[in-house]
Amino acid sequence: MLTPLLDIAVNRQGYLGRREFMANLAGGAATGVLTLGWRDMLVAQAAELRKQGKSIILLWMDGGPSQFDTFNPKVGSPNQGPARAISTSVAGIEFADFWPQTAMMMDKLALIRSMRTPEAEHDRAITHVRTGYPPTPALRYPTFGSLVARDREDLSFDLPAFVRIGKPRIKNRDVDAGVLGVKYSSFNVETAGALPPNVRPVVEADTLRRRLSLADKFDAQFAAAGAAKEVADKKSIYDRTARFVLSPRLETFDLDREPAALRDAYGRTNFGQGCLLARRLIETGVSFVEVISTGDRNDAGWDTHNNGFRDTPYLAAEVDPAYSTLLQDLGQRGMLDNTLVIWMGEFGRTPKIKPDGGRDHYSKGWPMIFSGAGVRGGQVIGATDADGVDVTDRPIGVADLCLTLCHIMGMKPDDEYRTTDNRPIKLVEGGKLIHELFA
Amino acid sequence: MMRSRYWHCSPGFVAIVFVMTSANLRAESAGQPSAEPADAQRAVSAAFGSETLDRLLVMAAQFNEAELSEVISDDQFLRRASLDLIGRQPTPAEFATYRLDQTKGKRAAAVERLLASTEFGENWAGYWSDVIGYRVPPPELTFLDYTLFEKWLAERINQNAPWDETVRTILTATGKVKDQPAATFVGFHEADTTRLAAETARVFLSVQIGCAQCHDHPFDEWKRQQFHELAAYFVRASAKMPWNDSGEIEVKDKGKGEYEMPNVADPTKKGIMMTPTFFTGHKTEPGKSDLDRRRELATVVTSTDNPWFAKAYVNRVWARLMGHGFYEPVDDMGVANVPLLPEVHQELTDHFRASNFDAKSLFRAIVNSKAYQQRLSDHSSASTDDKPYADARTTKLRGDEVFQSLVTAINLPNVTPPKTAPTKEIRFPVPPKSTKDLVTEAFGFDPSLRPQDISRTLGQAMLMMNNDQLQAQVNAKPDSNTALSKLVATEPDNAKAVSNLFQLVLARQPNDMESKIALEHIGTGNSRGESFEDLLWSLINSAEFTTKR
Repeated sequence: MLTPLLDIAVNRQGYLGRREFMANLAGGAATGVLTLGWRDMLVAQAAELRKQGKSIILLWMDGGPSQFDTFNPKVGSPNQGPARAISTSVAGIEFADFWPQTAMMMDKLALIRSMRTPEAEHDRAITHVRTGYPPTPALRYPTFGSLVARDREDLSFDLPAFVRIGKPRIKNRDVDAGVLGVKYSSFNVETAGALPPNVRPVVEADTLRRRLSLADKFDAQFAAAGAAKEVADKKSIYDRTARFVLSPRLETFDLDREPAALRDAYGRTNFGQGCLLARRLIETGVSFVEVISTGDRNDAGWDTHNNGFRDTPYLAAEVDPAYSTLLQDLGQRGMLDNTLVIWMGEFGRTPKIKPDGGRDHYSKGWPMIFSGAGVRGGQVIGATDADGVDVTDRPIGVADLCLTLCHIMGMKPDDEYRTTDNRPIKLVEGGKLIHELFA
Repeated sequence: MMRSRYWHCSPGFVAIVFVMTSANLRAESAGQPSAEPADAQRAVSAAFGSETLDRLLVMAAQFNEAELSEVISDDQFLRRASLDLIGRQPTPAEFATYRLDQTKGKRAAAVERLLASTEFGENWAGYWSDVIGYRVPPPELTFLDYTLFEKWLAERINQNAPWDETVRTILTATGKVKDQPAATFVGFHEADTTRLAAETARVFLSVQIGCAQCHDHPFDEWKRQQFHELAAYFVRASAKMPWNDSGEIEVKDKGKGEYEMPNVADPTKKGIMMTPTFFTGHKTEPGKSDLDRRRELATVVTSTDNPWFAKAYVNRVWARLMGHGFYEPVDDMGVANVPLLPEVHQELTDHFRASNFDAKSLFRAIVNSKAYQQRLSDHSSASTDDKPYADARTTKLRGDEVFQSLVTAINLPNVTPPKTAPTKEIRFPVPPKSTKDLVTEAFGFDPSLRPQDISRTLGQAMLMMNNDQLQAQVNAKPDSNTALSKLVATEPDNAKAVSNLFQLVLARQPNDMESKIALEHIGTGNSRGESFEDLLWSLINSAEFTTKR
């Protein structure tokens, strides 16, 4: 394993000054740790950097969007409802007509229409889809973003590895870092463009530094009185916190630095601005960003049991410009090759239409989309029947999804983390690679 | 209040087989005060005191007599005992009174004052609320609020209600949580049979039987059937879950039903009906009402013949007071878990049981012991493994202890933003967070975790560094009306003002080096007020402020 060396030699900036490197080299040689030559190091760094280069933006459609009203319209079926189909930039592939801008990006999308999962209740489905494990009261599995944060842990990077933008429509249905602990939980930004409380120091940076150094002096006295370990633990967390709250990179969270026209293109909604912030964060080196779409109008979000035909167009109008602009923006900056963008919710909605135009939960054939990070765009994977009821081709499950995410991120699916009582848990249990994505 | 949770299946516990007849069982119904006058019972156990405990520890080769005499100073003792018993550091006024006392028994007298304070019950109710709450998964549409439960439990603890009685009330309570706060345990667990079985065993007995829900326990002797027999006690309990307000959760009798252990081979097939049976072999006839079942369970759980009940309580209290339990994690007294000093644990347990589960007497015995009053030393060297209690170890303050310490140090006001009423659009508005909620959420932890698994976090550091409510108190300007501004205004002498500040925040006098550091800082050019703001900030942000011992 090269990791111990790389922890020293690679930081998120991607390079280390030669002087700093030589210092590390000397230190390593002195302790007998360093056994690799200069060239080996550089090669290893390059490989590690490539691996580290991949990031994920998850566009989370909270509540479960309807496949008929998004990316799997069934024209001619009684189940379709009022949404019509429109063509996309790829001949033969059609979307519901609430998605004109995303339709023009189809050549960049790998659209899966055959997700088939066992859970059709929100809390259970969210837990399953987002952790890769079926819900159980016995263990709180971490959400995928926390696994990425753990994999990409880089103490030299002063922003969190996992950021969440927006908030879940119903707090109690949330998943978090679970057994991995708060260290790997998401850093939550409820409103794109504004930093959460307690991040910005209320005093000048110099004052904060002066105070921190004074606290260090008092801590040294406490350490000498028998609390050395307590003080060392505190120091490590305070050093990290100070670097974060004083980081020039906090300006990443400030959207006023973006051109107004671009902000307009993303849409002046929390989701739209959240997608813009996601791009800025990935650009700065954050590994996993999640942007939550709830529509902001109520706490039903995409859970359109009632009046779905009325509400879905509003929800799509929030996501369509943001999603398509994000893909364009990433593409123009050359970031799409290393950024995986995922569009999904916890499940789809019933083919059967309720009298008021709503649909209930349905997990037996729902869509999700991959793009970027080496995924081949312009293709549809899997299919449901003419009425959108059953998967007729290529059913894909939760383990397949998580295994594929590991593959893209360069994480080993059978890598294990440990619960507090030292029980090993694999990143993913079972599953098959969705190989078409890379064909 | 939301709590982050850590669930895991944990290896290890032993099935101690012993014989018990129903005649041994104490037939008191839950929730009623003991018929016997508590004082008479307590006299029986008076023989066991702090000296006995110290003698036991010497016998267990934890100390020699010389080491035992090296106890902390009177001042250090007051901070340590105050934090442990009432959950905050002593105020300067409390210190002044204490220092005036020149009598030999001043420490014991201070312990009595602390045990008599209503803050004692509030602090330990917070502990138990955390023990339960950190493992309660939030229901879908109800926001759990533990305030009522904490208030109820604080009163019980302050009355020194015997622990067995309190636990019986918790296990048997029925009705709405707002009327019967003890119903919180069953209600917040949504009357879920398997969760209640696992948690009753874990919280009150430190027995880990949860894993046996699915399979025979790999290390212990628990069989899958034993888990489901325990779950059968709860099968007729139901909890009606309201939207939003957890006070409206109502625990009541379903009126019918028997428990079936699921068929492992084929879960779609009918399971096997279970007769409610406790680990000790005690059985309850099927067909009984919810209340009868839970009463019988509560009786066997809290019986003096139950080998785990008193032992589990003693282990938890000892762990919190001494920084390390006989068993760690404290909720696993299983066979795979090798305890420290089992003889001492047993003696304390016998004492607690003989005293009719008199909690204050247990606290008194421990806190007055010399073992408790050992000096702090860094437990990083391997040699301390042999003598785990030969000196004190640091412990992190719990969330509400950090909050109360801030209130004491800087008069932090507890502000609660107005509540938003649910509307047709926003049906589940998240309840607003008070200042106390913010602090306890950041610093809170599951008290059943091993001390080494409780880590400091970025959120804690950011709160202490930057939170505007806290920082508003770090203000020395005369018109700010803060504790700091008064301190600075009333004491023109810098050395004395530094002393007073240390006393206020860390509940001790600065040592020479600390005085020197502080006075040098005041002399470095900033205004006097600014320098004191820096000092207060750095003391609140010191490792010591959020650490016991």
